[in-house]
Amino acid sequence: MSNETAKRPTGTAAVAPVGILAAVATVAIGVVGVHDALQAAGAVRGPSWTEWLAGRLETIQPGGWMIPAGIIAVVVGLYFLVAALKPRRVTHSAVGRDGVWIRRRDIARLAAESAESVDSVVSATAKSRRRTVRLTVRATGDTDRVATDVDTTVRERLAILSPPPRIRRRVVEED
Amino acid sequence: MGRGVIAVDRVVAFVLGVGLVAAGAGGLGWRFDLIPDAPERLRFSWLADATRTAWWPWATGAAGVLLVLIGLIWLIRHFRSRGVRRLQLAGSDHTGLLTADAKAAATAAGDRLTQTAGVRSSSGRMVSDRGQLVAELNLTIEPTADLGTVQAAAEQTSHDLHRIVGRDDLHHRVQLHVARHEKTPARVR
Repeated sequence: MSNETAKRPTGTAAVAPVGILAAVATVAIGVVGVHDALQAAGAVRGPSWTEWLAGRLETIQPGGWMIPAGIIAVVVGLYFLVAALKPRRVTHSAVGRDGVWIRRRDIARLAAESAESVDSVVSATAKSRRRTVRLTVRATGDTDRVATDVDTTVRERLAILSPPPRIRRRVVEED
Repeated sequence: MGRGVIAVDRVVAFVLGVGLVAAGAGGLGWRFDLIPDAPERLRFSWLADATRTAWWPWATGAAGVLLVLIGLIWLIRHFRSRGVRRLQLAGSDHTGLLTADAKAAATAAGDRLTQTAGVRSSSGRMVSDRGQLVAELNLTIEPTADLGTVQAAAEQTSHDLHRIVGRDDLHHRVQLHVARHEKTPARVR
């Protein structure tokens, strides 16, 4: 019997909204086709939509509309290309090495709580990026001593993360 | 959302992206006369002729039904639950099947973890994730919780779950969420 850990948790793929949009567009194009078949059979009144479109496309020549349409097509096309090639976002850091994970914002909460437990600290806020936790600490008294204590406390608290994050902290003296 | 539908999305987005960039750049180049020997106009009269034929409504109808079906299946696949309801257990053979309520097994494992100091609540489920059968436990822990204690308990419970279920293809994942505020009385420092 194995004790396999699952793959790392990831965010939603950036391409998913494009896929949903394309699926809706596919249904919409299908509805146009069904409408025209029903229109030809006399079940639906009004003109044929594909015949109207084919009439508009019969002759195409350069015009002013091509400037905004061309720019929009290039921009949307580039967005689609980036979304197609972008890997899924990494959202969690490992706690230990056996399938336990924690989100970055939660690492920030733990770091802030640890910093607030240090003597002379009035308040602490934290932000967690890919490999770094940035702390802003408001404290009274000897800020150098507070900085060292915050470093030690937060580092010890987050040492179990794999890999442990770098700690960047700023201590602001409270008036 | 499974791997298959994401792969389809990527291929379609790539093809559409290349097509849109090419069409957009081509249109701009044509408008500003940057394409040498470009024709003054493009004619697609064959398309208008085709729409007036007898077979056109049949073709659009058949293609339309097909596209609606493909589009709906594609759309539904994006929102399909990854959850696994029942697990076939080790020991099943031609004489009978041993099955277990997958969610109940994961939930029970999560419930056991709530007895660990610093774990406020839990939820568990079995999911099919990127080709793996995964027991996924989500724990909400107190901001003051000891990560080492929670990690050790989570690992032990995961191993127990593997042993109880007894399936070689089972994987586990424990995700920790930290509560905004302490619920239990503050510990003495």
